[in-house]
Amino acid sequence: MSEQEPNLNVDVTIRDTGTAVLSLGGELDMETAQLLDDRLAEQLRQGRARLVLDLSSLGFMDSSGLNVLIRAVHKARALGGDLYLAAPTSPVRRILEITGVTTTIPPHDGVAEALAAAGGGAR
Amino acid sequence: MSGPHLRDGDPRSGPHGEDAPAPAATAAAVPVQASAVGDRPSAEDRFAIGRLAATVERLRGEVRAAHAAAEGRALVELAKGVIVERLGCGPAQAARQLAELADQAGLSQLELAADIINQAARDRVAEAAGDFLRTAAGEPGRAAGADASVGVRLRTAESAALSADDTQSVAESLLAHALEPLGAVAVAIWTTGPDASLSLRGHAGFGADEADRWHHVPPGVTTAARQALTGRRTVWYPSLAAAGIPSIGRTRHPDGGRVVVPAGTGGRIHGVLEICWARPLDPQPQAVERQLEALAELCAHTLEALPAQAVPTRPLAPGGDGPLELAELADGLYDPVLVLTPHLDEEGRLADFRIRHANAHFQDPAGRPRSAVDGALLLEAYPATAGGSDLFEQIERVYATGEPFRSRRTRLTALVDQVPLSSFADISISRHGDSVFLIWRIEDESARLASLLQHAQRLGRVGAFEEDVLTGEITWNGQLFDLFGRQKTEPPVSLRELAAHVHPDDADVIRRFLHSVLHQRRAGSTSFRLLRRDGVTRHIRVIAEPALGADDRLQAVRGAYQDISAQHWTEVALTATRDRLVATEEEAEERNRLTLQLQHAIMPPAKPPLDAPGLDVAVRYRPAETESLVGGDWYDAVVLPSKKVLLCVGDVAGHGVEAATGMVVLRNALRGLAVTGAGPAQLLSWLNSVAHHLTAHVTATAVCGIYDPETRTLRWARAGHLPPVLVRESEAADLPLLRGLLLGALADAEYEETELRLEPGDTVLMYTDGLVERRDTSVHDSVAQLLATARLPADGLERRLDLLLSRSKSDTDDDTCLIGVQVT
Repeated sequence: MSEQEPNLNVDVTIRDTGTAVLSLGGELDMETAQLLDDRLAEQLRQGRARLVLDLSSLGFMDSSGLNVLIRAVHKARALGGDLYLAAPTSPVRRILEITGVTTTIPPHDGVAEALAAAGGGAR
Repeated sequence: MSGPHLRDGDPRSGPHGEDAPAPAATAAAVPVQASAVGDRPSAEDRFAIGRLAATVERLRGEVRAAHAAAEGRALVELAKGVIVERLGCGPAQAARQLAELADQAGLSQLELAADIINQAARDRVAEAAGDFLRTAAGEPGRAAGADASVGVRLRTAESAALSADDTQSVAESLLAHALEPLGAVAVAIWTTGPDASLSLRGHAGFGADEADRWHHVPPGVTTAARQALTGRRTVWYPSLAAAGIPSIGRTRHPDGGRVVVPAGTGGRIHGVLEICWARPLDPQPQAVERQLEALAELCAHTLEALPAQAVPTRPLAPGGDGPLELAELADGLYDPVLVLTPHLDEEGRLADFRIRHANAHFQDPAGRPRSAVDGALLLEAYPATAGGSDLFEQIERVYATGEPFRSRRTRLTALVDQVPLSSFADISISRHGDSVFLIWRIEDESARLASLLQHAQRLGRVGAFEEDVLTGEITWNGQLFDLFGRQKTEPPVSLRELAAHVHPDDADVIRRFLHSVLHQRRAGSTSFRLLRRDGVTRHIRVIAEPALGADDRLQAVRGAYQDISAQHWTEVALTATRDRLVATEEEAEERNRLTLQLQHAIMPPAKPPLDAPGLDVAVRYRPAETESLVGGDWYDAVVLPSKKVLLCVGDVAGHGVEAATGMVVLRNALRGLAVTGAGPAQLLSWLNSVAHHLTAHVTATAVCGIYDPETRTLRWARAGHLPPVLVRESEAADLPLLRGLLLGALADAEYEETELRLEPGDTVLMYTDGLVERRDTSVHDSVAQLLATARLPADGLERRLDLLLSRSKSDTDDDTCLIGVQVT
């Protein structure tokens, strides 16, 4: 249903049994937050709790999108994994800074660095 | 080493501390000396007391060092030293003067020496001697012989005590010179250990075997000496046997009288002086009591001056760096610890404690930063410790006696901006060396959170419930019983019974609500009039959500009741939310209208009347154009009981009734919490807990400021929100991005807080991101645009806000809150 939402693309790449990279393109807002939430939940259900979000093509994020990230962090950490943010664009980075999220989920410069931080996925 | 102190160091120094005049006899000694020295001008009489006292002390040290063979000679030498100092003559001349003076006064040289020293020292011993003299005879001169003998006796004892190199000799000297004349037959000197045990340090008249048996009294064993220690006062036993209390020498003198005197300096009891009589003791004149206290003080100085290794009371404080070592120890503990050292007043009496160290885990019950407490005086940082709670007294007692103190759930009261803030803590106080270790464990984190939420719930008049659908078991929190007007011993009201407790007109509302929650398994909220048995009608909102089990069957319903009767706006909100359930079954348009109505009801478009001297406040609320997007923005500006002004804007993520409901909860909670007087960072930290625990899956951002009109300072903190803007003359700048996570993301969050001093004419703006958020522009650029508009000249605060709103370039159709304050 929400798959045909045109404003957000989510490309999932599975790196190993516990790690997935989700590349986001477009805008993450009230309209599209549910789509990302579903995709993240899918990965967690399949046992992948180390989740890397590639934000290099995400141009906008609002509080609804932020909420999805925060919920995902809690769920991933509860399953022994974590959520890693990679390469946020400057508007998105600014939102992360203003909301103080960078202090709890420090963003990484690129996907490679995020995967290295995630551990298993880089090897 | 620490020599004897010629000052009144007893913490309970009583009537003779502050205004004790020089005793008559010793005062009389001055003219005698002055008249005898014809070649010295009378100006010499106005000697510097301080210098003299210092000399006396130095001379005493010399006396000690020389181990004067004859105690009497030591006294004479001491007196000669005083004469040397006073007359500026040589020792030989001083000796001649002393001899001449004694001859003229009809006293022995020894007696005169004692008088001279008394007069110079003006200490406890002198007072005791003078006291005795005043009571013994109306005319000082008459009873010269008797007076002199008391003076000599005490001074001789002192001199001997000071020259003795161990406490044992002190005891022997005291008995021989000072106590036998009072009819006593034995004396014991006890020291207190760190564990409040008593050790016999010196004794005379009891016999070696008895002393051996009593060399150590473990803590907790009540003996005569312990009574003086724990009671911190002199205790008289006319007959030891009659008192039924054990002590050294009781077998030999069962019916004899006993006196136990605490030996303390500067608020700390170092030991106990115990004096034994062979026969029952008649009430003694006050003068005798004074003498004994003077002797006890002498003992205290002697005990204090003992080398550290001989006194096992200072295991952690070898020398002056005890508090440092303790600080390191404190930093290794996971509980909040304060290291306190005694703070003496000019008289040497214990006046307060200095907070020498607050450890890394220290948590101020009032939420102040550690730096605000570290280094302060205890009573300044926690004035309430002396009042309602007897915490200060307990610390004093522990410091004096060394007996540790522990207590569960002690109420700690901290004054924050004159508003008392209470919390409960487990307290442990112990003495180490010269320091006191105060540990408080604020009730464990979850309990603290629970009590915090309870606090927030009480302030928001919210009572939580959980009802197990399968077992029928109902859990209510305490607040809910109050809300329903029921005793805690009564059974709670189940959801199915609820309709029977409401106004007949609302019974249908309840039924529909329950149908939605229990059968359609939807979270819901409705409002109704509760008819309590005591005849009171309350407007209540209930919020409930179904909890499904693994098999997707309904297991429980959780939720909360909130008493919304009190304020006018809730009456209006009631209309809005009451219709909500109906609305969900009707058109969305209607629902949105109601949300807007709720929003308006809570935040009237008109400026709230605000009685804040020297501060103009203006507000704007602009709902989103698309009604379904009306959301959770809020502002608040209210004068607190402390006369400070709470300023806040916030934004609950999402839109619609859920966001608006979350907004109501947070706005109310903040108002309630702000009344405690806590600072903005602490308030946001609490609000974060409320957002995280009280409302489901809600995050919000907020900026919170407390403005003090008296000092024109604004303290503020932010939680994931854009910082305020300061407009000063023709300049406008946004305030720094202080550390602060948005509300509700983590169970615990800490916030950075800063202070801004405003000048007359300054304007501070707080706003929600509806004012700036644009998809095609970075927040940075949007804020730059806002600042540019803020720099434009405006005819008053209201105009400025209109201008900002009209020039707002937001394209996200979010609702917008804007609050402006201007210092007048």
